[in-house]
Amino acid sequence: MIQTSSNRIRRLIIIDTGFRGLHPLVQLIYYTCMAILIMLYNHPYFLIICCFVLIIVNIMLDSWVKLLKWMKSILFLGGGIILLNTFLVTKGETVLWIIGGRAIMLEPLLFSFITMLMLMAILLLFVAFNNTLNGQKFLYIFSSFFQRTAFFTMLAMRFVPLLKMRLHEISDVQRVKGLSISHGSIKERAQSGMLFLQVLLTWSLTDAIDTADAMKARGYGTGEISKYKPYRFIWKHEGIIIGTIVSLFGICIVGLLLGYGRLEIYPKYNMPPLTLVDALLLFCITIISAFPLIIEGREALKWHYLK
Amino acid sequence: MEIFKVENVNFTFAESSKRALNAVSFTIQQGSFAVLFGASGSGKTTLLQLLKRELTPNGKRDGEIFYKGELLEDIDAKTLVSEIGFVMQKPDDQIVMDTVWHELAFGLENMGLSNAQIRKKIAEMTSYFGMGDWFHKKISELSGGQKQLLNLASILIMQPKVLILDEPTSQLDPIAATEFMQTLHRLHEDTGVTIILVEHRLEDVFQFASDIMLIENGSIIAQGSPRIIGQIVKKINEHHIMLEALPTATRIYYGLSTFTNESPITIREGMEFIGNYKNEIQELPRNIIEQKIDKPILAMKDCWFRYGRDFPDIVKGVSLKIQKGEIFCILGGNGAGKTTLLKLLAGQCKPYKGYVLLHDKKMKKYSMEQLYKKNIALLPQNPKTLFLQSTIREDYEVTAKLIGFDKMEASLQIERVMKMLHIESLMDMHPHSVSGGELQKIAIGKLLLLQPKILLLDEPTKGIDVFAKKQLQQLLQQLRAQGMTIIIVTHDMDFAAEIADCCGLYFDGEVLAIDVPKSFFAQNNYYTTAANKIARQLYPNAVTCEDVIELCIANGLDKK
Repeated sequence: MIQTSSNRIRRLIIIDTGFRGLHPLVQLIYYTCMAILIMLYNHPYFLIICCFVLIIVNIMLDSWVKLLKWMKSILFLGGGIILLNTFLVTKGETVLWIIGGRAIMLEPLLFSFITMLMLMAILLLFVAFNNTLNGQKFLYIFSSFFQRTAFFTMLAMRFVPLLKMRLHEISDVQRVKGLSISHGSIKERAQSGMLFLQVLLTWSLTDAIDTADAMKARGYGTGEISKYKPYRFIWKHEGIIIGTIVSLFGICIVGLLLGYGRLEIYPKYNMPPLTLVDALLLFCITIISAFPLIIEGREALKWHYLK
Repeated sequence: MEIFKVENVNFTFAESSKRALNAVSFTIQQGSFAVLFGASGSGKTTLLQLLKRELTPNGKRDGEIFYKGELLEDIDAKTLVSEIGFVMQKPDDQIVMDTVWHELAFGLENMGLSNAQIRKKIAEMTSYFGMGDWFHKKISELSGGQKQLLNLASILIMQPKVLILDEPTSQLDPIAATEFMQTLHRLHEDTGVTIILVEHRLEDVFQFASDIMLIENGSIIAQGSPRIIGQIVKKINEHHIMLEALPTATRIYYGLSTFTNESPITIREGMEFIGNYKNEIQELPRNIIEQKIDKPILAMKDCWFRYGRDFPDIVKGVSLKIQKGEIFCILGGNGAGKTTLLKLLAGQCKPYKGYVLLHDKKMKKYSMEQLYKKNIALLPQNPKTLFLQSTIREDYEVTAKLIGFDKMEASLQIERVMKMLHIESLMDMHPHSVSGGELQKIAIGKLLLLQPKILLLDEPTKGIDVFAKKQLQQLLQQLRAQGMTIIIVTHDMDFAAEIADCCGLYFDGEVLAIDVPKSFFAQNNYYTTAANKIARQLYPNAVTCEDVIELCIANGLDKK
């Protein structure tokens, strides 16, 4: 069912415009703001809404398969934390039941439940992050500020898969002669491993000289280096988005500072009734977390009306 | 206009006393397509590197090199960088960035172009090369042919006037190599860029080239247009080894007599030329080798293999029998899984269904040690991976110890191998610092120390020149005479036709059409040697160049 609705949404959305097509900086701002809000807000209503919206975002981004894999472990872990916390912690004042001489308090139960919600929300955010802002885009943002470091990181990223493949080749060939890092005594394995790395190093260093020559041949170091920007940043478009996110973020932070959005658990659980300000903050947080959906929705509407 | 003029250049490497280049003089006209060929170690790469200032090695150079009329050392760096482009041999060594688009932008970034300009040029290049499909991919996901094309594109994007290529197709399979040459030709025709190319595989290139030069021991000994270069080389030496590097049609022409006209250079021209000969004798009598008794030394029975549960089948129900003392060649397209098949035969991988029999005993009953000691040896595609020590001699000694020879026996065996392969001069060098053909010899030497009964070779003719190929051929024939069974996986049909006792075609996980080379190639229409393609109308069973020449001589000219 999720697959078909995801497909239906896919048909409405063109993947590389919309949220994924935004400039990486904008995406980064979204993720950072969300992360901060999730960690600071601790009222369960807010966290539940965040989680819910983020699940929808993930379905839209088509990363729910990865999500399911993580969900199992997180639910397991979360359940474990709740149980442990409830049964072992005796701080707090509202008693729920008494089992075998121990008092089960509400506070630790609630606290661990909220912690689990927080973890889940961060996980959902992280999976979405991994999917849209991959290593390259992330590096691209920082290359504007730390040009040399970013450049060397990109060089390193080029070589990692290559070196992995070479090491694989070497160990494949040497396995036949009985040299392996998976069989034999610890000493033998370590020796074999060191020999393989030695060969890998010599091989890669000699080839790297050719790479350095090739770089020189294409003019590296002969003058000012300009930077190619593959992602477009149009102030009118991207600027508005950043502005909106940041202002919503600001409102939420102000609300936090004024004391809303946090639940007092220790020493005694105290749930004040929701005020109008709370409702406003809830609304803001929904909008911020649903940002990717809004962007995609807007694109979908545009295409629908163009027809 | 002369774009390059080299006058009397001598070059000696920094720590060497022997001259790498000797009194080299030639000119390259603008817009020409020059091809340089010669044995490895003859100085081709050094000469090319001298033309590109950034790549010139340390050493002493006499003589002068003029680029567009000015001395090369007087021209400013920026012009040189963009106007002279250099494509190297190994695709992976040139690529710097980790994605395709960034690699294309790299050269332009170095030149300081603005964002809009870079964007425009990348768009242009991608469209011209048809790279739209793989433009967003990471480098690690590309094939060898795509990588080399990317290298070409990232150099061309800087709009060079001269393109220098050092054996660009040697690491590619035949299909990718042909595509690369076609792209080069199209480029030459479309833009008039001057091309200077070093190649071993001249079959594809001759028809596009305008000048050919043969370099030997650091000097250019022959220079001329493609149709007369054979004559010039023949004048120097009737049986010059490099004559074998020429395209098959040209070889047949010159093999027949001392013609002084222009030679054919493509297969079609070869066919027209052969048409002059009579058709009476279609096959020369050959001593028929007795059919060996069917006692295979290595056999596969219905083997299935895949790399993991979720991966597709690579080997699908292959049954194979390899007789003792024969040379068996497995041919087939790239990426078909021939290396995997070889690994199965060597016992490195285990099939999940079916089994492999070695000496009539199932492979899995042998321990790893029993297999590699005096039984089976596998030469990998990249022989560098075989060597673990810092000199070749040390590596051989370690291998001898591994086998269990004592000191006396070890030095005897090492002597024997050295003599057989003529590698005495290389023994104290580092394994990574020898050339391609030499690397192969020392790798085979190391395997011979293990005294195998079966030798498996994975693509042994990749990137080696004609002379080294001939040496390899002689070596393998010598080993066969000593009773060794040899299994070769290769793309090189001419090599297989010369040396194999039996050939098989590997396709879609199966080995088909197992037959003697004569029938194997004669029955194929497209997947066959160049000699067969040229002669098939007249002599359908001629498979090698020598076959065709013999048949033509036996038949005589058709006086129509």
